[in-house]
Amino acid sequence: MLSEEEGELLRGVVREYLELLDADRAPGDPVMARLFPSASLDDPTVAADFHDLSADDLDQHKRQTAKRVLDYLEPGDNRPLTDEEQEAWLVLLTDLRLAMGVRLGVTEETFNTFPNPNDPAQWPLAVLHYLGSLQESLVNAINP
Amino acid sequence: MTSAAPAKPETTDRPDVDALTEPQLPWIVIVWNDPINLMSYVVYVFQKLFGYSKEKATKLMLDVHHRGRAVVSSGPREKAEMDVYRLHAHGLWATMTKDA
Repeated sequence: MLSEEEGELLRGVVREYLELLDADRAPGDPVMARLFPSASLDDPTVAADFHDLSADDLDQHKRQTAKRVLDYLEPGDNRPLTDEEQEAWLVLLTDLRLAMGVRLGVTEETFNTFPNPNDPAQWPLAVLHYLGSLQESLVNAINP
Repeated sequence: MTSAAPAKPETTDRPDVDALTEPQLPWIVIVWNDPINLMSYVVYVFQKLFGYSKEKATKLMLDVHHRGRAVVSSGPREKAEMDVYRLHAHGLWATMTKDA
């Protein structure tokens, strides 16, 4: 299903994502705010209670999901995805796209034009498009 | 990050107390639009997490897309927290609020 080049690209992106989770979190970093959203817009107590209740679990969940996908991406492993792996792929592709998309400041219009992958300046956007097409085909296969 | 918030009581009779003192469905869960998540994926998540039909999940997704947000579930606070958590774990931007 995935070419060697795709596998290499994906392993690199997933490792960067795990490094992002490990890094010191700057307060107000928009990427982290999107990956760990506030549960309330208007009630700081509700938001703080929810954060205390769930932030560690969510962090663990993200790491386990990423590691499950990395395991699958071991070179030479081309078996079909199990149900758990399908779910892990969908969730991780979402997080990878959110992290990249927020960092790049994309809007809905961003996805109307396809970037030129040969232009180094447009390469991150090309990766974002690629991850989106991968996720789209996976969703359509699971939920036609 | 630390907090002085007390641990929540885990007594089994708490829902009954809530039922007597609060409206029956006091919390709603809202999903907000974002420019990144795929429409097809959002439909899939609504179906999977809430057991909604594809039609209902699609209508909710379109509400989020066109109106900027939609109420996707409601119930006691503990259920709202669980739903928000599951939505966040799937990368959707969700919040909870008291249904005033």
